[in-house]
Amino acid sequence: MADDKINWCNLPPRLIPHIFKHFTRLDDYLRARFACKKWSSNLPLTQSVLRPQPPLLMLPSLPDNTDAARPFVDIPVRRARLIPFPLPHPDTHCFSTSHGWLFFLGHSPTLSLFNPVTRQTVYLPSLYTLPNGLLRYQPKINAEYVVRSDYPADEEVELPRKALIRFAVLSADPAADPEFEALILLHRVHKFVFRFRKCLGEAAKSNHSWTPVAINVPDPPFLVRDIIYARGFRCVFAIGTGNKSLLVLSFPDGSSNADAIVTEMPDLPDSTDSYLALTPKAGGWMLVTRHERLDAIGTGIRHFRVFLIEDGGQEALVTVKEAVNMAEYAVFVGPGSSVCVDTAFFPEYKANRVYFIHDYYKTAAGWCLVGETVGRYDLQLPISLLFRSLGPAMWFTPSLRALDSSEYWKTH
Amino acid sequence: MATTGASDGASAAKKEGLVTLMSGDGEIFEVEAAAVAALSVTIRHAIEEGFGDRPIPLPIVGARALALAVEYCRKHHSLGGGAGEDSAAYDDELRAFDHNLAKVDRDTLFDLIEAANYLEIEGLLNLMCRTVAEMMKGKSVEELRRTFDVSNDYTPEEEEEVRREVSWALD
Repeated sequence: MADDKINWCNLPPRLIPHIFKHFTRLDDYLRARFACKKWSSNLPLTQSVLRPQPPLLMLPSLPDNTDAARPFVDIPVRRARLIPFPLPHPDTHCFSTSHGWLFFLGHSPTLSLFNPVTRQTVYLPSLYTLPNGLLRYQPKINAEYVVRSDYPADEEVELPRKALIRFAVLSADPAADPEFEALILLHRVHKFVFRFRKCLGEAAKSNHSWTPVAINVPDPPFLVRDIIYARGFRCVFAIGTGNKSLLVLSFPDGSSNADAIVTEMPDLPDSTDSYLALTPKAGGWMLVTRHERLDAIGTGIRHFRVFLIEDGGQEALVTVKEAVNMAEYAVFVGPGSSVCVDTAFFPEYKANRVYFIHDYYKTAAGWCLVGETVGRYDLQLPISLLFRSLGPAMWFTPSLRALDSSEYWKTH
Repeated sequence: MATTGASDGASAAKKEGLVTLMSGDGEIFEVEAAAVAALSVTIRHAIEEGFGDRPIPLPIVGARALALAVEYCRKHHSLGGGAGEDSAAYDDELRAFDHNLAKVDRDTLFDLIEAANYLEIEGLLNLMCRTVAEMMKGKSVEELRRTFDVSNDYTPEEEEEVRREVSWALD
């Protein structure tokens, strides 16, 4: 038998999953699954068997390859993969990512989700389904829309299409949860968030719109810095400007109003930016704050701090306490969805580090460079290591899960 | 593999606390019943069903794999390792033992996975499957096919279609 090499394709089918459950990285899993037909036909083409994956860095289109594909960079191997990336419409732009999907805003203005891996599209309601008077089109270059702002003053402001939406987040991967929810926040509108709940069957037709949900907090309004779904998807956590308060916004069934509870956190330091991420341990959230200042000679000094958010449950007893170190965790913060992974399973990433995307300005030899850089901050030392300027980037965690119903294709 | 001496027949099986196993290729192994029954569900059931005084036939398990599996059971039983590395008794000695056991060649690995599955030795199955997964990690599709002597069993059309699904992960 030793001379006659065994063909591993002949492994009994029921044993194949036993081997493949030991994979951690999605690309390893996919390559091995692909090696033989018997293996691929006995293994699902979703990463449901794997733990949550670290994100890839999504870069802008290549100059010579404008809309056909976008580079996605795997940070530890410093290698970019080209993922074919057809835009839903020539005149659309990607403004956020969530659960393996990209948010696109196009003409009209239409909103859609696109999964570049499965190449499927989910149509969200158009922004014209926002309440009357909130948004109006005007034929003006670079300021096509007029938004009724509610803070700092009640006034009409002109905004280009690309500046309409501040945040967009999904409660879940639409392919995993057909009744997912989406939430968007508009620029200059601070007293409302807009919510869409995907309904199935007949209800889908009458419910294809954005419902305003008032954030009932005393003036001044809660200025959201980042937002994340919590407790299934009955509620969101939001962190406010300056980092001094956490908003728990819960959506009671059948009500268009949300219960808003603000937890003041006077002990937290002021921050330049804040990010919310889910921790790999179930039921935990993380708050990462970025602090920037200039030293005497004008060099930027940056550091990050990490806080764990503990949810007391329905009574909204949310406590936030600083984690001096994250042990095995690494967190990815910046545009797109922030993600925390356990490096015990992904040793190619460094533990206790914050991987960040940051726009920067730098003057060198008379050249003013404006770009975006990716860096890694060590909570222990603490210092930042900057990789390079890559242009506007976003974190994106691929999802292989495909929509299994034709439901989505009908409703737009 | 001197640890598991092949005995000269069923007669010795009557010794107190021993059980006789017969590999697929006809080799007889006389082993401590307590050790194998504690780790192998299949052998435990066979003993319970009264195979105790006859050799238990293990048709798909080769002698080499059976010897290694028995060695695994003995070591883990004597050190209290129970079902595998999740157990509290999984210490450095067992870890080193497992590590060495996993250094077998790929064909033996294949046989051991089949044996562990047939004998229902969960810890051994897990150990060997993880070893294979570790060997697969970081390899390209072509390297995987070479390493594991995997024949490309797709038709060109099928391969093209599957490759398209996962192309981004392949290069």
